[in-house]
Amino acid sequence: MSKRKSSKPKGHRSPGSEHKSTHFLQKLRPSNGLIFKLIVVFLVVTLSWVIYLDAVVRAKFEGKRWEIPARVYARPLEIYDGLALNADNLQLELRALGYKRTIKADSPGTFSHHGDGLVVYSRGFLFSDGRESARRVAFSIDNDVVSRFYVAKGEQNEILRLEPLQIGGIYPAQKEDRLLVTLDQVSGGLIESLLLVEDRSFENHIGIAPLSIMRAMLANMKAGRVVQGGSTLTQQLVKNFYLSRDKTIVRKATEAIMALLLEFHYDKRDILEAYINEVYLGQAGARAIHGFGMASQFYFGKPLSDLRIDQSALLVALVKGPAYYDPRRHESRALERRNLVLSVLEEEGVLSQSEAIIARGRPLGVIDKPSYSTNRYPAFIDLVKRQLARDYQQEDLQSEGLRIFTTLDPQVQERAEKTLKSTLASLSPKDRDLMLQGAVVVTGSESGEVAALVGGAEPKFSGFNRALDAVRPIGSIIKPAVYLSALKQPDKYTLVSSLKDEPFVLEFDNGERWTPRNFDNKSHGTIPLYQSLSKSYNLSTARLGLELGVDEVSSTLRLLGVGRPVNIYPSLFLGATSLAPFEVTQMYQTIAASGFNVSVRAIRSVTTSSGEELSRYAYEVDQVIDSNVMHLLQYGLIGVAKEGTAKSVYRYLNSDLTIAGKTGTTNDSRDSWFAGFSGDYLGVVWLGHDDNRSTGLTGSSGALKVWGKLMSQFPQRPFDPIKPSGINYRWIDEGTGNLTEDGCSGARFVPFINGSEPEDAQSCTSGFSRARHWFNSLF
Amino acid sequence: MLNRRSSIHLFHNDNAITKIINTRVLVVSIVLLSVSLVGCSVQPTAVVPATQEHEAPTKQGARMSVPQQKTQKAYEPSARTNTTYLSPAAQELVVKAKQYSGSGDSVSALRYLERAQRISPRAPQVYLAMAEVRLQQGENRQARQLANKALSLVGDDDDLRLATEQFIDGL
Repeated sequence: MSKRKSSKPKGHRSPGSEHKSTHFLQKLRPSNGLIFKLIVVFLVVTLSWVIYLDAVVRAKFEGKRWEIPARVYARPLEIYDGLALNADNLQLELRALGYKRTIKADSPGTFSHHGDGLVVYSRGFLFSDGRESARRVAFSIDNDVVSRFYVAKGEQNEILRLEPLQIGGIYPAQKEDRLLVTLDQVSGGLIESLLLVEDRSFENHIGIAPLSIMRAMLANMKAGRVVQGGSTLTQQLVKNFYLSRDKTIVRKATEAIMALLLEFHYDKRDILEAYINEVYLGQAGARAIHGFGMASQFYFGKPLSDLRIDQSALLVALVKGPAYYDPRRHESRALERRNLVLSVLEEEGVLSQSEAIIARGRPLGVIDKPSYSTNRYPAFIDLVKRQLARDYQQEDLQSEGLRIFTTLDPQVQERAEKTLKSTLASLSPKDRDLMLQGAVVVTGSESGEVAALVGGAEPKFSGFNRALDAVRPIGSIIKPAVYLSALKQPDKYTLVSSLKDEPFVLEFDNGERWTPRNFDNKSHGTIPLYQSLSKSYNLSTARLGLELGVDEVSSTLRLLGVGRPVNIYPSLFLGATSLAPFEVTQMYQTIAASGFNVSVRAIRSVTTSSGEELSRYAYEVDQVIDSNVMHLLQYGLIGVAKEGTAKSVYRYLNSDLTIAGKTGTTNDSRDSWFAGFSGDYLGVVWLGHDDNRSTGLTGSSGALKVWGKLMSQFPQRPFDPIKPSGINYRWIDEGTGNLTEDGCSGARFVPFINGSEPEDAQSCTSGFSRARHWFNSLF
Repeated sequence: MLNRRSSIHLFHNDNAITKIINTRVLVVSIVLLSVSLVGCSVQPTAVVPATQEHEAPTKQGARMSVPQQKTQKAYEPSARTNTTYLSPAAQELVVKAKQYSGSGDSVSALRYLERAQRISPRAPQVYLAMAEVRLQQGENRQARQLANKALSLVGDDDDLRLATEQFIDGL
């Protein structure tokens, strides 16, 4: 201790003092007294400089040393018997996670795939509900369903939870990324290699080591190239930690003083630990990779404690120049330097000759650049940030190393982006200026968890997030709110109620007139309510809306979860009000979840870097529409897909996949909408031009195509709602709306709320409908 | 004085309620367990595989849909009443959740139940179990909502219906 104290002033005083005093002497030719005064002044200045540096050194080292960005994770894939899973989609996700396909899948982070059979060897992950250890699991994917799930190695249970894909981070301004580690998480081999290569006298020096500079020079001369650096680890740490990158004498001096001060105040272990977390080891776009913990993930996709000696040797090799020795770009340089490090270990007896030979014989084993290199899904991350902003400060998100577990399904997200892009390209005219835009939101149809969110045709560029911010007229996708308002009054309306689909004129007090028209410009006479919905007829819907009133329909919209104020005129009934795709998703979420409002969520939980849970966004429901009433609407929306405006969706979908949904087209075809759901997913698609030009598309010729193509890529359960207790199904004659029997021609199986069934009945044998059908079929 | 007395009353009432709740939770759990044993034999709604060629040729599709239009039969809903039961994987998570809620760790219990819900989103047992945990947390309103959700999915399983209705009545 005393030795350090005494050396501290010496270290800094001598070089600077001579320099400055001669300078003054030449100019002033002063007397002895003046020289003495100048020396005193100089000492005071220098001392205050040292005191200042000391404060800087201590403040940063003892305070929050680094700003650790929040890490954003996708949902972890859970694999179990009965899971609907497409093998191609699974491979997509495994590769994004950095898994390597091998023959046997016998180490963590590998998988094998032979025919229907898959073996996945997971890496393990610390979840907020406990650690999921690495496991080797075999299963089959037969007809897109997982079966014969079998744990070959590891904890026995029926679900394999893979580690979640990191999909991005919330970075501070300077974009340094690191994963803090403590010394005991670092393998002994790495520290030994580091000290042997970078600073042999670390254990003994006082911050600077003139001897080791000379030794390094000798070693370099012997090797004929630079194998050792002269600065101590402490100096390197100071350089990166406190100082700019310029190479001036003053800076070198400051560096030396600060190194001494650091060594004076702190333990070797603390300094080493700070170094291990500070050192710059790579670059991923604008993001700088700092520290061995992050570098281990960045280059090998696994934690530092799991590295083999050849892998830690590569990380040590990179300290000298992460760009020059970049193992992904300059493989031979990196390999040569890694082997040099291994040879040093051999020379020093850390490795035996045979161990060193084996280690040098290994390939670099670096994984592909991880997908989180840059924020891969900017539109989704945007949503995550907005939802986080309710509970967290931006500053904390950028600096506290929080872990954010989101609901994103990378398989759905990837497919959604590609499908939107390719469909937009096929729909756009060849003229490049007229690029059509679009947005997609996909959620779990019961859970409300956002599986995918695409904000435009170029999803990798963050910019205008159309899924959240393109507030556009919604057209006919508003109609479920009109029909729901009617069906809520079972004494007045049922699915077979007769509606008039005929033109009318509505005159307002100010003299303006409203003359709605059907899309086909025809009127369809008297039609049953379910048909008006499935064919999306405007005249009958507008008339129905007028019977119900604007207030009634807008209050239904609010119940469904639409928060934005809506148009207060009757044109509301035909969707002359604007919402963003995300808001439409909330509205349809309530319909898909059978009248239970579930908030559409992108975040499951937020934890500290050590896994302690800070907040959880739990599943909560709020019943806003009676299940019986919603069941009637769902029947109508299934009809839209089976026999109405969305029928063409079965060009893409298997006919067994029952879905419910609604198309929407706005005036002059400016917007093309489709919102629909299966038993597993709810999807909302919007297409249009940013400047509101006409697209020439309807809901079914535009948005529905994207929706159908997207959903066709995912095995899933059909939407087959259970009959609520207050519902009776009856056979109804389509022509008359009377009760009839199964098997009669024109008979339709329709749900009714108890007590609202039609009273008139007609027998199919005595009725003339069958006869007429038979008669018609003769011609 | 009056206030203090009323608070004592409240306390007593709370105790009584907890007792009722405990017995009810027990009944419900027994019912759930017996239900889940039956559940294993029932097939869940079948998964429809992904379409291999998701860009079906449009012309062919259009040609096919034209004749279909004329002879198309009215869409016939299944009007199913058979209850969707937990898949074995979801069942395992529900059992774990019950262990956690049994030891008073309602937060972990909910985490496991949400995982079960993602696997079997239309199994009423998941929602009833969530309702029980919410009640344990003292969130009666959310407990009732979740029980309503369970009730909307209960179908023809009369035992489960009874258990759910009793749960709601006891709130």
